[in-house]
Parts: sequence; structure tokens; C-alpha cells
Amino acid sequence: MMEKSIEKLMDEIMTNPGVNGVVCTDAQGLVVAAQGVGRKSTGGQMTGVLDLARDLHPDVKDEPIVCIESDAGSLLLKSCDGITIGIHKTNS
Amino acid sequence: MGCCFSNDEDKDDDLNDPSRPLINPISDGPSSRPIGSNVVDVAALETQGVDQTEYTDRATQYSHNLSSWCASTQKVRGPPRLPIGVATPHVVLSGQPISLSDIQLITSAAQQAARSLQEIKVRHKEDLVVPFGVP
Repeated sequence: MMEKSIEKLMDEIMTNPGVNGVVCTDAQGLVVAAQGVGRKSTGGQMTGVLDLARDLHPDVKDEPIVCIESDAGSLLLKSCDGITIGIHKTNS
Repeated sequence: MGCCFSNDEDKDDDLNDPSRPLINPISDGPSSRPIGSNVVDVAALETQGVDQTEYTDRATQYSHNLSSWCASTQKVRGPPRLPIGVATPHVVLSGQPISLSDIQLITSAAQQAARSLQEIKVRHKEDLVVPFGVP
């Protein structure tokens, strides 16, 4: 099965220290895969936040990295080739 | 005389109609009754003056009722979608933006995820339309 590779990638990301959730969405914000604490309903918001970050610096070619920090932990966001990935991390 | 099915006894029937109001507020005649019954005479209404103290009390009461209703209603409040925030923003703002290891982690994860999703293709296995019950 081809979708096994994305599930295997989710497992690998979850083994990183401090990571307690991963959400992966397509360009429309629809969740393709999710593990851990990541809420599946936040896929569209993650994509929207990155769209806003991209609009802030339209001259920059590189995809922006957004980190939302809170008392509960941090959420790292990045897009690549139309997909968006969000990694939830605990405060270490 | 009138139109079909009408005669002089209509008046008596109208008076004996149980749904007829006992007191007719419109005494201008039957022609103005359908309009007059749907009109509120604003000028005839008593004005209800509210002094400053009562106004403040009402505003406080309404805002209190609204806040207590919002707090008890799950539909309005909704579940938290993204992380709510930090209690000490100056600590976060004075710290390092993102560590280098986090940048490497999210960058490599995004690249690998994009590569993995590009490999996903729809594989034709069986017909989507299946004849059912057709001989």
C-alpha cells in the first residue's frame, strides 16, 4: 500500500524528542494523516496560517516556518509542494 | 342587494359571530377596520422614561445575563482549535525564535511528507459502477 509510507513517516516523526502530535494536510487543508494530540479539525487553520505568513513576505521564495507557542507546547508549521505539516511539541 | 350569496341577514350574522371583538377600538366605520387593526398608534403610547441609574442597572443586568448564558452554552464557546496562548509572553518574546533542531525537523518532515504524498496514486482495482439486479 502506497499510503503506508506516509504513515511510516508519521511514526518516525513521533519518535523525535518532545513531539507529541503530527498533522499532515493537502493544499486545501484536508487532513491526509494525523497522529498524537493533533486535532484533525485544525487542518484548514494550519494551512490558512501558512497562507497568511506567505502573504506577509511575498518576495521570499522559501516556504515560511511558523511556530505557535503556548503554555501547553508549541506547534511548528511548514508547507512543501502543496502539502502542509504541523508538528506539536511539548515544552522541554 | 349585494354580490352572490349575500343578503341583508349578513349584518345579523356578523353581530352574532362569536369571534367578533366585544369592543371595537376603531369606530371610523367598517372600511378602515382591516387597516386600523394592523396599525400601532405610536403617538398614543405612553413613553417609558429611563433614568440614568436604571439605565446602568439594566445594562449591568443584561451583560451579566449574556455572559452567564455564553459561559453555559457549548455551542457559542466552541472547543479550542489552536493553542490558546501563554501566561508570560515576555518570556516567549525574549527567547530564541525557533531552535535550529526544530527548523531541521519541520523542514525534513515537510519534504518527506511531500515526497510520500506524491507517491500516492489511485489504482484501478474494480469498476465503480456495478450492475445490481440486472440480468
